[in-house]
Amino acid sequence: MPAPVPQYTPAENRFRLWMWFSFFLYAFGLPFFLLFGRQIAALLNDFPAMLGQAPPWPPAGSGMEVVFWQVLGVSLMAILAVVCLYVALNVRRYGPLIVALLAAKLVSTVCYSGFYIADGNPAYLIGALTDGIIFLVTAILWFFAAPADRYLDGYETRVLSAVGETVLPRGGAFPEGYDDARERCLEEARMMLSVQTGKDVLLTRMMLRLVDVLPLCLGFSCLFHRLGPQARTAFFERLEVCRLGMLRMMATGLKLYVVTPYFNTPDEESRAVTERT
Amino acid sequence: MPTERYTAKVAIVGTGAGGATAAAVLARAGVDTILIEQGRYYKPEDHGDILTSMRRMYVNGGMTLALGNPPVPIPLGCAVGGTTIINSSTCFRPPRAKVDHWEGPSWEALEPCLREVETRLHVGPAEESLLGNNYQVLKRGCDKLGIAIRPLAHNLYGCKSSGRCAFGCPTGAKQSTDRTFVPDAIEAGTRLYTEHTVTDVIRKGGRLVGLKGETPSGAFEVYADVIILAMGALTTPAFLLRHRLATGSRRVGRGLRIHPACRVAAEFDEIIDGHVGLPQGACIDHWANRGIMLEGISLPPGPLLSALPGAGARFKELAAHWRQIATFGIMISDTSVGRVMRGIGDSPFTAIYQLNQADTESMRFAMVRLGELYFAAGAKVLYTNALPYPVIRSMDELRKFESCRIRPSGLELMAFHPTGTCAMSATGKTGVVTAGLQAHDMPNLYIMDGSVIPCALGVNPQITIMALAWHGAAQLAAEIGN
Repeated sequence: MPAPVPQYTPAENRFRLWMWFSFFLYAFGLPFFLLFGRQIAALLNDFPAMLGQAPPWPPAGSGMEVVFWQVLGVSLMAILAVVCLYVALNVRRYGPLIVALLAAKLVSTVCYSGFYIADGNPAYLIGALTDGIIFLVTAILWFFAAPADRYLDGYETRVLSAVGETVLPRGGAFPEGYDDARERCLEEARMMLSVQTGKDVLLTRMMLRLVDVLPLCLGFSCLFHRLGPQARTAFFERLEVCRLGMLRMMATGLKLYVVTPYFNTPDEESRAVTERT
Repeated sequence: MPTERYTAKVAIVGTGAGGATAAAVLARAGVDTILIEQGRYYKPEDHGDILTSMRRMYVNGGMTLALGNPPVPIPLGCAVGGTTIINSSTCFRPPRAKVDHWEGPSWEALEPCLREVETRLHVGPAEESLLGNNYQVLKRGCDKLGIAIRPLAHNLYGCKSSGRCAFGCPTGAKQSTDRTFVPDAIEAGTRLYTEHTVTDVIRKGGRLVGLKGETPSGAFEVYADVIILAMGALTTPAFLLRHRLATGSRRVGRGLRIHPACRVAAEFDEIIDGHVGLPQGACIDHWANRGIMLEGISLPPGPLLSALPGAGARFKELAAHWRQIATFGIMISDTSVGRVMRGIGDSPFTAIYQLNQADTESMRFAMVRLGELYFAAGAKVLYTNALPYPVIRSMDELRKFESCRIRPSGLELMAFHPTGTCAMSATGKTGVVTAGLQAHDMPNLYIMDGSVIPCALGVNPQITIMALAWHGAAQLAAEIGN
């Protein structure tokens, strides 16, 4: 019996489409690059020449070192093609493989940008823009499509836990804190996210990332989840009275994800009702 | 995937206040009717804890927002019963002045429908024994300052005072449409299809002939002579815009009113247990001529505390005393106007709403009056969540709050009554539907939900929506009969 086809979310389908496109790009580009790699540079140089500008691409040589680098380039394309194929076939199972493509494109973007800044040759800028756009599109689509059964990744979970520990630390008016119910609360928070639209889940995830970096903008020395308890409390209370409605709403929203699950135990309510009656 | 095909004389999308009422009226008149609902049917015993209820019965888990500064959460229901399953069961007739002013059914035409609806829903004033301490403490303040507070009318039958109206009544006492008009419609022959999400329309020769959509196991198509949309004032206009239906007037989605609301929480020395009793048991309409209505609101500890300020030891101190906190809500008959547009991505709609300065001042005025009542009742601290005084500890601070500069962005708002986005009007130039709720430029399309109310009513709108749907459906049944 064939395995059932997973019901993908719209975001996962968009990401898969991009992966199929990338796969065909690398798979069909590979032999083309191998056979006609040297002609590509010449072809690209024709365009600026037509505009009366100096050709930006260094003319391709024909020595052994060129063939050597060409083989390395082709092998990288083969890796990327295989990664894209696997992710396109089953985004939930093989999605994390995309890190390989992201790493490759990030490194090439950074290198091209560096060389462009040092050298000024527009060829580097074109390289940086091309790979940079591929990196951004892939990262954004992956962020949207991040595993639907998880909702919060490890980093976001750490930030949400830090919000929980900030709002409800151990000790004080009652001994237990968020830490004592962390797993249950995180599970509840994930379940709250599980019924929301992709846009709203994304918004919450971005809020978590934003709240983590905001302390740096407000003069604190490090990320929110790395701050000490007192500094975190001070920052969070500042956020709650911030003049910007969006930031205040963010604090309230994140508080909802920690406080509501923490108190979502019917015992307290029942006790109050029983005592009254 | 398999595609189910249904045919009927009338297909109704949505089982909330409008859709369910229309289905019951049409089915009783012998019209072959289909009722389509995106959510599931829940029995009272299915309701579970607060978060489970929110996950199951709220659109988007309760995270529906109108964008603005501040953004305004607008919770909507998503189950058989629509928003009536999660509202506070408060019942008001529409103010006569508003009915006389709108280009909809006259008071004389609407009044019999109001009576029918109220009878079916067992609408009556709440017994004082159900009102709880949240009401009693505020009444103490009202008595001292000579302000009248009165029990609200509710659609309840055998209320056990669970205090859970907003999360699905666990005892089935609330007479939401899943317990009244939907069973009535089914008994009269209506076919109900749950977990059916309408995604598209079917046209033939430019004429709307049906709808299609998705179910958990496949797809469906429904063909009908008449289609009634009753998906609510946010989803219906977005659906019309997405599929270019009835858009000739260019009024679809415009004119959004939401009754912006906020609440003041007050900490007392005594135990209040505000969550015991009817959450919205009473109201103060002393300032109704200014468009201000104060209505009770109480919440279980999680949602209550998450809306209170503070973090760390200070917040835990507050949390330890949650049973000593009373809350009351404020609702403004808004002059601000928002707009609904097509949804982005998988969102059913995009709502935009910016509170204006006049409504902000009204909100502040109401918060101050409520603060005076609470201090008169013996409150120690007030929590307004409004800048620059989110916490108020004395009358002096309350006076400062009254005279300081306040901006819309400084408020923390919610809203519960979206209306106005497919307004009734005499002509197709100024609105989307006729007084009989028929689309001006699409004769076999009707809209029967809160979107047809062309103004901010100033009171909870469920009875008005039901009466309008009753009136429109009765007219439609007569036309079909002829």
